[in-house]
Amino acid sequence: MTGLSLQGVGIGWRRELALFIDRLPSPGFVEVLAEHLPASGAVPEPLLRLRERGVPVVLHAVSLGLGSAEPPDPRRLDWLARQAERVGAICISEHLAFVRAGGLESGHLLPLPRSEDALDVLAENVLRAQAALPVPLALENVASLFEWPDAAFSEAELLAGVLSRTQASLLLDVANLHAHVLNHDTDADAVLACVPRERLAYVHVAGGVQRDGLYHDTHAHPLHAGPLALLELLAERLGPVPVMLERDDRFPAEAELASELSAVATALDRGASRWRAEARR
Amino acid sequence: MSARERLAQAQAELVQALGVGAPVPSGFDPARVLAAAQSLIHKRRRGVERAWPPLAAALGTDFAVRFEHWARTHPMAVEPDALADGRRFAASLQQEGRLPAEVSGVLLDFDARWRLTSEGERAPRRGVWLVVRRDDTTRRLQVALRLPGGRVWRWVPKVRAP
Repeated sequence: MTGLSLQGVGIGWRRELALFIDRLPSPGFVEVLAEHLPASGAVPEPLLRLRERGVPVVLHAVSLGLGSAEPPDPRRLDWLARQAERVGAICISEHLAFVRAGGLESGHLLPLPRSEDALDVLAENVLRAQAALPVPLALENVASLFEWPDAAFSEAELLAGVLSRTQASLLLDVANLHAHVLNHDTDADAVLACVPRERLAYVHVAGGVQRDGLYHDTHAHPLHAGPLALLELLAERLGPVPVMLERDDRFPAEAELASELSAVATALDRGASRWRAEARR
Repeated sequence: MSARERLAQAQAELVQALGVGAPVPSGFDPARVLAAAQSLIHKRRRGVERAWPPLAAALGTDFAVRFEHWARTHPMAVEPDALADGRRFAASLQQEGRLPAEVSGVLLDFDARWRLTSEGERAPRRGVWLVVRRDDTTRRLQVALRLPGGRVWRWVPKVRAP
């Protein structure tokens, strides 16, 4: 898949932020949670207004479980395709994760073993999903507190592997990458280096909290310097990339949110201007 | 065994450890898996707290302890849904006689709008639906009536201060 037409700094659309987002002069794009949209009936009015303003919409899902041992459920794919059509999404994003197994729902995105078995299953699941969805699919790296034992390859190799076996693009979450640097000593440079620009759909940044020596990707706390530094490095490597802020809970005052958005824009600009300087040399 | 079968078994063992406290599969760092289990239950509790503010408020500091205790023995078997999860939790409180009286109004409201399927999924009611029950604490009758179109008319006598 070639690059999507996303650009600028966007934000995850949430009901609690609808008014704030409505007042933003020019959001680059918004991301809507598929599981939070009403199952039927009208699309929320503020989302329709954003579409009328020409703000691109991306649909973000958490319940497909593309890394599950089972192939994605055709009913879930149908539902997701319909949601994408309802909101006029130009792209659907999901996670490199599994969410259920053995009849239990975990309630969150769980990391995948980095094994040939898991990569084979994941790639096949992604191909099935792509065949059923009406718009391009982007895959996101997740954050975790633990890792599977006996990894056969690195996180960068997992991302490169799934990109080479499918036509999906990557949604790189630099906060999740930051979490893995702190929690698992993941090689951030290797991850940043494995993403070709034309396969990068967009980037997530979000806040989190460090507790008992572990970084928790909460989307409910302020943005840390770490993810912003990774964003800057990514932009230095690839130039301006579409990026968005995720906030899901404990919504801060509008001024705080606005200042986080401008911190994101600043990190992006700093990286991109070094990229430009490098290109001129 | 195929790749899918091997993966299914490994994932199921991990989810059992995370969800219902089954033994941590070998090779994993048990402390990290425990931290993840705690974080999952925290997320689930926060979801119910946001979906059922009156329930969380009425239980006060007991809410976290009671919910987490209940959640550990009641894993989610269907799509996570904080509204349904909170309703099931309220039902367990009611069985134990610990449901705060202030919550009966919102429960009545919920029950007039939704039903829980045998699998535990939340399904909307249609047409006219009447809920009549006697409150455990006040012994007064409470009534909620769902009208076609979805409006709910509710009659719950105020709890008198003791």
